Amino acid sequence: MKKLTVVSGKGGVGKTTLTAALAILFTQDKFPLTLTDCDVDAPNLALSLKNQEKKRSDVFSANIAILDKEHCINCQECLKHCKFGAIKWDHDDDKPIINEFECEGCGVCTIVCPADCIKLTPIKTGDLIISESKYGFPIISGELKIGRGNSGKIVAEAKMAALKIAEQNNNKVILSDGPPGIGCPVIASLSDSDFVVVITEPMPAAIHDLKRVLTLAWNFTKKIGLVINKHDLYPPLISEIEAFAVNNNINILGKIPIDSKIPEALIHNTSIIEYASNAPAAQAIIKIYENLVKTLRLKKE
Amino acid sequence: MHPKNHLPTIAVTGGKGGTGKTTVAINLAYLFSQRGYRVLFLDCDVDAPNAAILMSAELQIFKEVESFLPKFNDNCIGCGDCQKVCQPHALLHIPDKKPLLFPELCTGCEACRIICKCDAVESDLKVIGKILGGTKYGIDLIVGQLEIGEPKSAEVVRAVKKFAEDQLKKEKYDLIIIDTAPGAHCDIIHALNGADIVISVTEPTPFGIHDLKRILELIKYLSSKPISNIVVNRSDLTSQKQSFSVIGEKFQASVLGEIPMSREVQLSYAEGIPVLKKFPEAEINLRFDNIYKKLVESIT
Repeated sequence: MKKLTVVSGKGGVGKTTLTAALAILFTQDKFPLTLTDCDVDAPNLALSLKNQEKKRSDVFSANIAILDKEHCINCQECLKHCKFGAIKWDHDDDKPIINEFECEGCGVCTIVCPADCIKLTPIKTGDLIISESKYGFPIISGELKIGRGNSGKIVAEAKMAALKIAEQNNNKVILSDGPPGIGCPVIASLSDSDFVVVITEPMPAAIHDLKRVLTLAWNFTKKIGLVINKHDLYPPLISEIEAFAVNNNINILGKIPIDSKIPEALIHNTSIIEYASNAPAAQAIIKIYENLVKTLRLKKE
Repeated sequence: MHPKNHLPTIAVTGGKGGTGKTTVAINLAYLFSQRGYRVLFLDCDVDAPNAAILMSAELQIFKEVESFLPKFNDNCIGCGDCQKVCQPHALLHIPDKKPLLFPELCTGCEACRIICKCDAVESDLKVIGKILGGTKYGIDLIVGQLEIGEPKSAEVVRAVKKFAEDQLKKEKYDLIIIDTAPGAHCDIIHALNGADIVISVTEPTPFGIHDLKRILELIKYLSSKPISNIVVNRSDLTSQKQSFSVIGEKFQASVLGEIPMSREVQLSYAEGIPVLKKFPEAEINLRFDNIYKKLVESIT
């Protein structure tokens, strides 16, 4: 089984559009797969695959400190020791106020409190959603509760659930749509990936972020394929991306042109592969898919 | 609600990535600066800080952001108390030996140092990010940059905000503009904290709308109770009209303006120049001018 993850560094360069299209192509080509949405902060993957939700469960991946005001002796020890600025002092009441969104759940306040009036309590940080796309493959999505941290743990939960389902179904491929950035949820998405697809566009900001995410991805695998989206957006930068890829032994899987069918397909809540398979962008993605299958040496049974 | 020395603060966010947050933020900063405002700009998208690139601003390193890591000295008796209080499980207790540290899991809370009876835990700082700065078009920039491989984005965001507080004591400004990362998680809360006005930049697609609703919900949780605004970027991306004012209403947010697609935006973005500087005659200037006027009304 191959575990593929799509990342980009910069947001909005086409991760989800590419992932959804690849998933349909794998299925049409009789490679059974499980799809994971690791962009738990903006989980959009299922939106374009006409999915049906099968199961939703709560994820409790964090603790927060809860104060028992009545027993508080106003000593301010908790305020002094909180490293995360989660405790403010309410001067009217002469008691601490713990901001649940700033609290890291580290428990330092519970240790230093001489009155023993602060307790750590588990909180819901998100949902794990299992759905089925109309194409037949399961989609496992993590969804972070708005304003929470610990997105990395929700990614890990989603990946664990996906692995279990993929093993039960005897899948060849687990394909994951990663989050933007290079932080905690991206690290969790990349860990134990066999192959990373990095998508970018020829713009300075996207290239800057591409280099940052590649440097991170190399810690996990050297097997990386690059996709250049909207390659005709600003052609002068294409040669820079290509030279960078050659110098770093990165295989360019393909280039996708600007195509009005892509936003149109989005509006219709569908993938370009279904909406307009003859459109230039769809044809380019099909080529990328073929290169990917070749690179991964995937074989049908 | 705010202390007397509070400066008007506008934060730009949006939920989805790539909707044009930074483009809107730097162009607004440019416009305010051109009209005589002394602007302090904070790039709080520490995973992917791009504001300086879009303005071609040269940056220098102001300081490193450090986080606590425990270091165990020979006072350690191997009692295991530190492991018991370590919530992120960054310590492994080996009986009668010093604990084994997994640095990537440590959040730097210092619970181990506080609980240790033997004074065996010393502070070993590790660099998790940098704060950089520079000046362009009269705008002072402060940029947070997460070290690659470090998971603690939120801590770097907090450090940027802290650094800005110190900067405000040294220099006089009229306005703060903050650019944030995509998403609707706790780093965004740190970045938005203290803002008077939050602008959520979105695009007329189901993805844009889905993520917009998440960020508008988050804005409602902010203790500073900012004015919540929406800017629809690439408003003519598809022929289908989306009613953002109806979406906004549910979250007490109003539409501040729409920005259509244009070649001018793309070119200036590619060249790292605010579009309002490169193409001062383009139609987009009117759009930004309208947004500017509404913002001025709100902050005065």
